[in-house]
Amino acid sequence: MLCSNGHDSSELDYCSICGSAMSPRASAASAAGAPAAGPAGTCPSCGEPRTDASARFCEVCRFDFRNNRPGPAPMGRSSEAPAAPSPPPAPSPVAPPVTNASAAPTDVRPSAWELVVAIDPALDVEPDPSAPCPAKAPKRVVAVDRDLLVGREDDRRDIHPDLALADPGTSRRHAKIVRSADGTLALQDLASTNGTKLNGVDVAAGSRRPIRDGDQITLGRWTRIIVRGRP
Amino acid sequence: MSFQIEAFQNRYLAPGTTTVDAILQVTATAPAAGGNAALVVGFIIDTSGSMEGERIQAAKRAVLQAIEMLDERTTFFVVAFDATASVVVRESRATAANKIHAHGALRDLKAAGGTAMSTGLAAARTLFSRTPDAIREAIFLTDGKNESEKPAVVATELARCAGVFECDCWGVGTDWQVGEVQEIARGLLGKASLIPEPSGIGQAFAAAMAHASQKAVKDVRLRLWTPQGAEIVFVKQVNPTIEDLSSKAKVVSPLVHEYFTGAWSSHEARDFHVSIRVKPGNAGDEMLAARPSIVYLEPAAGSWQEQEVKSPKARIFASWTQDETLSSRIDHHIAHYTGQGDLAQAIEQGLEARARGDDGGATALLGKAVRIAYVSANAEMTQRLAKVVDVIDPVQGTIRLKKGVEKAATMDLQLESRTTKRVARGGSSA
Repeated sequence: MLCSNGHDSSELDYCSICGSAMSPRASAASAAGAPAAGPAGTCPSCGEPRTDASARFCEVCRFDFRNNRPGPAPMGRSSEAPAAPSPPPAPSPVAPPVTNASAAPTDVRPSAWELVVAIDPALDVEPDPSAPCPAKAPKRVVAVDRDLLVGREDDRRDIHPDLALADPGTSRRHAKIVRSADGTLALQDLASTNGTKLNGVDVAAGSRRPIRDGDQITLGRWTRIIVRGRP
Repeated sequence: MSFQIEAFQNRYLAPGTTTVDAILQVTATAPAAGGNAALVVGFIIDTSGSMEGERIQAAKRAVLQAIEMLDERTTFFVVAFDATASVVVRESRATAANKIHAHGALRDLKAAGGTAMSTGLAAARTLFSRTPDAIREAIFLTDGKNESEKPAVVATELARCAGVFECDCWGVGTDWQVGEVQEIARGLLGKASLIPEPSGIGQAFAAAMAHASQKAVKDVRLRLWTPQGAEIVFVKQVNPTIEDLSSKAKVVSPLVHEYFTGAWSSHEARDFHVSIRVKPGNAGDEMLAARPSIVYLEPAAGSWQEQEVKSPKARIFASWTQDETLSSRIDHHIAHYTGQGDLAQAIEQGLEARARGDDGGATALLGKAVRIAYVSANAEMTQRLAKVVDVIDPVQGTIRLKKGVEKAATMDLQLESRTTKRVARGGSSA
């Protein structure tokens, strides 16, 4: 996997050579000339990728994108615990799109989507010897040609998710990938037992969040799903 | 057996700042059922002339009691040294028959002659070298100065022993040199402690046996990946004791360094302070400054298997921001251990000042130590300090040097100066 500096990284999150975030969006933005406040598509204060262009506040540090200044104090999340769950931001339902349209990232809407489903042993922080992580299992690429139910297969209960995971940490009905009429994608957590993270941030149980090219969804004990927009 | 690793830091840096500090909390989690590690315990006992009488009798009893605690899977041996070393009990499984044999062998042990500590270490090294696949723990007991050899001889022997076995050291009485015994313990990933009276040897050895038999994994290394262009400023263990590991770094590859920490018991927890210098960034830039992991050897089907544990929570970041309210915060874990480091330094320098007759300097430094110990709620250290100084106001660090301090109290304070209080979890920046 190539990082924004062109290194062939063996890690999925941050480049194994230079340490930069492995986000194609960030790289595209910085190549196009980042605004002084920070690369487009990432928070200028903390660098967190922006998952929702219409959200007013950064999901991590609550930086106020609209007024370009630090937002209210972070709640329930501190810098000491980078992976701690964070409450979802409070996007105003009437939040207008970014006012300066020319500075906003110009998204080429991908015409097709696929999910790369990888097993990442690094996520398995409390390995269970009775159910070891199948670290050598190959990656799968799944096309998103319809709404997909993501979860653990259970023959006995006749639950056969569209994207079936052999991960004991996932719920049978764990999450849903939803296609909207305009071609965009969203991730919905189906009130799963162990939760779903989008780019390392907890998705509140049952809530729906837009997902874009390069986003990473982590769930269960070791599953990492990378979103790719196939043009 | 596995490990949990969690990093605590303030990732936000002001533009132009390049140093990233983090505390890593590493906790060993319960061992998997079955598959216990082979253990070899070696006793290295000073039998020089000064040990004669109560000390040698207590030491013999303590060794025999400790051996009684071992089960048949464990191997033990006993080495005695004065100016030269001899093998009293060669390496044997802790069976009932071998325990009886040890009783007989130890009964005839007499105290006589000088003290050359390196000979005891060298004899133990030879015996430990025969069991390269075991977890190897030594217990070293002395009561006097290392007067029959030059210090350089010990240093050379320690370099040979490092990596072969680990060693906890005890000095009985107060006629031994803290520096000499501490050098052996620190060189062999162990701790040096004081036993005031010979009657205490039994209890100390029993505790050491209990600790040794908990060891579950060996060759535990803190592995640090850092990005191209970054530089590791230092890596220190900061809890339970302060040990600078920087000089012990092993270069695995240009971006990966390893720091050796020895064998760990199940449920053992240690904290490390990692400081990294990265290339400067602009406001809005974020990078991964280090990816720590724990690498260790775990017993598996009669041999050892290397494992690596990574955790997303262990990642150390650098994130540049113009916002000074973010970048000026000091993470409370780092503040706590910086304070414990200052405490150790104030104690060590304060005792040195007192020893050379600089009462003014000693009062200032030990007063500072009293204040830090009090503020960081380090009750053990506060108690130790109170045996050496009269505390007038712990908040201000106002003290008076005590007259007629017991030598044991001073030695104990010196030995424990780098023992830290573990940082409280959670809470606000303090």
